[in-house]
Amino acid sequence: MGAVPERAYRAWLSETVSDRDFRRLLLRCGSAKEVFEQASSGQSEIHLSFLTGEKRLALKKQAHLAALESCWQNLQQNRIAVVLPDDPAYPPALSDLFEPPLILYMRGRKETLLRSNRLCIVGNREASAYGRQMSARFAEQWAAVGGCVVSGLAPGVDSSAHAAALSAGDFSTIAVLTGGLSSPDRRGDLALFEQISEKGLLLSENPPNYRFNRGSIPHRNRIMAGLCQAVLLVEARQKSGTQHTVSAALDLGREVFAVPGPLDAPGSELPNALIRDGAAVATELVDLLSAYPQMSDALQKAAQDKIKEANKKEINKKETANKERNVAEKETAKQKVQPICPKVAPNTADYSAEEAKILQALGEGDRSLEELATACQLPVPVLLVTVSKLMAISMIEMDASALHYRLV
Amino acid sequence: MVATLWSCGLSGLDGQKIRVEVDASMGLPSYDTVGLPDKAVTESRERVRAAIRNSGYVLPPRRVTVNLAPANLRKVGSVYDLPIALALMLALELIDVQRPLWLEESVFIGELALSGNLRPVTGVLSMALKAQEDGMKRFICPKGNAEEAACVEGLEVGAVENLAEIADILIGISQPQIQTGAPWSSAPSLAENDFSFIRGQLVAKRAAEIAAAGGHNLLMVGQPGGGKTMLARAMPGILPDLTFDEALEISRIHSLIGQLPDGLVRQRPFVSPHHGASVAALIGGGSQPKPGEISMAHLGVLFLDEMPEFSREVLEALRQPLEDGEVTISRVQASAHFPARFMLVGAMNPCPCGYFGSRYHKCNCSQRRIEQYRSCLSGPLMDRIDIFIWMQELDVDDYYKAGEAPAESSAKIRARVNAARHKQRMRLIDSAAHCNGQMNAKELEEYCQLSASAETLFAEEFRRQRFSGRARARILRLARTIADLDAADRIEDIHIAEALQYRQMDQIWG
Repeated sequence: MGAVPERAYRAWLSETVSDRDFRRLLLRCGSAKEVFEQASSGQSEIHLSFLTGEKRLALKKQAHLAALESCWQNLQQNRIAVVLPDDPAYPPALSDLFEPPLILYMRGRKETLLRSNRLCIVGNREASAYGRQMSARFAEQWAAVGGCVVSGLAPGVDSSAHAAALSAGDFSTIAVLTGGLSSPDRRGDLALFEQISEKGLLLSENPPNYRFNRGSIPHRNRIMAGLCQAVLLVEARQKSGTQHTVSAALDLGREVFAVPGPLDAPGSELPNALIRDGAAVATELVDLLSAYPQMSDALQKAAQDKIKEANKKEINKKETANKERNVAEKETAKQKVQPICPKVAPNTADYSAEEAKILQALGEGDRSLEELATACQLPVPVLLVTVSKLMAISMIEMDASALHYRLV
Repeated sequence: MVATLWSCGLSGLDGQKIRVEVDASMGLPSYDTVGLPDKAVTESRERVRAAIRNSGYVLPPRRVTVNLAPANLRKVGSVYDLPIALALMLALELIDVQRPLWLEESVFIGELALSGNLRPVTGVLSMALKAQEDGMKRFICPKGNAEEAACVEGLEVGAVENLAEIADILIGISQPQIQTGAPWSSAPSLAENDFSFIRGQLVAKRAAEIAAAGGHNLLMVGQPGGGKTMLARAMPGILPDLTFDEALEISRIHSLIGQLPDGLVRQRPFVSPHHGASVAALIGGGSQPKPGEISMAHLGVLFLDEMPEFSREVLEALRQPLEDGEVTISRVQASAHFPARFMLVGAMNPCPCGYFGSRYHKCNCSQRRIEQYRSCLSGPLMDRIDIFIWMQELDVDDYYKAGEAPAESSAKIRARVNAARHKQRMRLIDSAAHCNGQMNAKELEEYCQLSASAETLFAEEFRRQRFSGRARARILRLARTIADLDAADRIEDIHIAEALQYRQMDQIWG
């Protein structure tokens, strides 16, 4: 091993000591290389003196070239890049943070960082159908106009946003993880994780094998807020982790948008409260563009056209309930494959009367069996049989709580 | 002189014929009881003496030895009072027996009061069954037990009120009062609620019907006020009628703890122990083993409300009886088998606060707390549940809407359940199982024939949802019952499709 770059030392240090000690050691010694040398030589330990005996011993034990090398190799194997604050790849926006991350791990396509108009879409894990739909809608449209969607790869709103952005093109999404980049966070979606590492960018300030823990969520959220010019809150309850992202954004002077939600849904608590407190309302993409003055007027216009078109289409859909509509819908369904969640109930012409009733009811929102029984007015055995059939052809599925059914 | 009589004791649930021998000889007056008597048997000395004296006989001073054979078996309780007193009177030649053969063909049981009157004892049904099995002709018991004993066919039951009366019979100056068994018929269980009172919850009602028809274990998960307890309390009203043999099985257990007031049990038991119950209370126990609540629920329903509140130990103890249909209680002095083929109906909230998944209330439980709460029910226990249903609270609008059309009454549902159960009984006539829920692996393969379309659907879902072997068996059982309710001989695809839906929740909950 020739001249070892500072990034290798830093990766080693971040893996060896806690987050707090990492920052303190770097501030005192100036570089991770200095820390390594002091710890390995054992002669002048003056900068390590604030560590307790146990921690110092542990650090010294790891301070040898073999450890450094294995740490570096591990990163290479997992195709994880290390980015330091002085590197060109380090997003300048992060320097607005009170304590900018001293090391960033990245995996995937760094081209993604070139899209400087980033929008952070956040929301709860237990997202409703509405939440997932809105998240996907904004993410897809934002990616289509050349923006980049930043989120946290959690189930629910986050995952919908990532997947929808990816469906609009490559280099369109960044996932900021709490844990290391060798695997998704607890309960994260592995398929989506792989997809983003191929087409988008995964980002974390923690070493690859870092174990997920609750305490690091706020730290992650500050990076998400820091990366973006604006935060879009889709759905969350009061006192949820999402609140951290919102308050971090406000501290940094980032714009905060909220998607208004139905008043009786628990997930509407936070967005509606924010709107009441003065957050900007996001109902369509143009609302967001106001926070991105650097985006050209042409881009805005294109976005507006697109929204108008989409709106027209939706109005048409609702107004004309005839054969023509069915044909048009079939065509659009063919053209546009929606990977995440359909925006309306699927075209019911191809299904039996019972199946159509169920699909119709589920199109209005997630339902439990009992709710389906009341909504569809079918005898219970018939209902259960039809639900089973629809599940067999993967038209509907159970949600994460295994209590409600939803459209696939 | 030695006098001997037949009596009957109990070992666990089974009767045990006991030979009562009394020897009276000249010597220093004394009275000893041998043959492993417990305190109650030893104390019978005082009751016997007083009863004989108060019946108008004079006891001469003699050296008396009472032996209860077989001598190595522990004798418990006060049933031997009457035979001991009679044998003592014979040994002392206080009465002149005119019908020795009659005496030898009879079994005597009963507890004596000091006045000579007879008091009823517990476990008489098992004793009478044993007497009949062993070819005894007569069964002489206190009047209070006569109706119970008369349920056994082919046994002459003599109801006696006091010691003097039986002495008169032996002397030949009076005849025993013969108790005849009342004709037996099943009666529908008296439920607190009728199914027609329950609004909405159509899916849960259907699930309850299937559970009752096939004897399947059922777990209801839902918010407070969703109607879980109400539905469970209405369950007795749709349980299938008892057959005579089943009634006899249940009655023996109830007789053992003295809960058989008049004749055989006519309704399926419904037992709902409080969640503070101990293992011994639920499973059975005691130094002289006594049946617990699960045996009291034999062939009926064991309802565990607020299931996670039961101690883990108690719930785990249910696993073996759920599988085997009986429970063995082993103690230093004795071990006993009690049947416990019950249908488990459980109710629980989805989370500690109760409002997880609610449309109208906020759930404040953290994911960790919810997981902790659910983990109170172990995987092996959940594996034994056939039907999972989610019962959410009713929307106010639905509440009124549901009230418009009158719901089906329990009697109507019971008629369907009875028909389905009859089909099962015919099919399982040579088997130990009474219903689909109890079929073993061999019977499952034999009787759960799938039609071609059902086979395709099942194989497909099996691959898609990656069922375990046990889950597959549970679905087959359920589908069999649904087909029975449909009066179908073969399991069709619609039956499988419906059964699948009762297992959806166990991916997370099971």
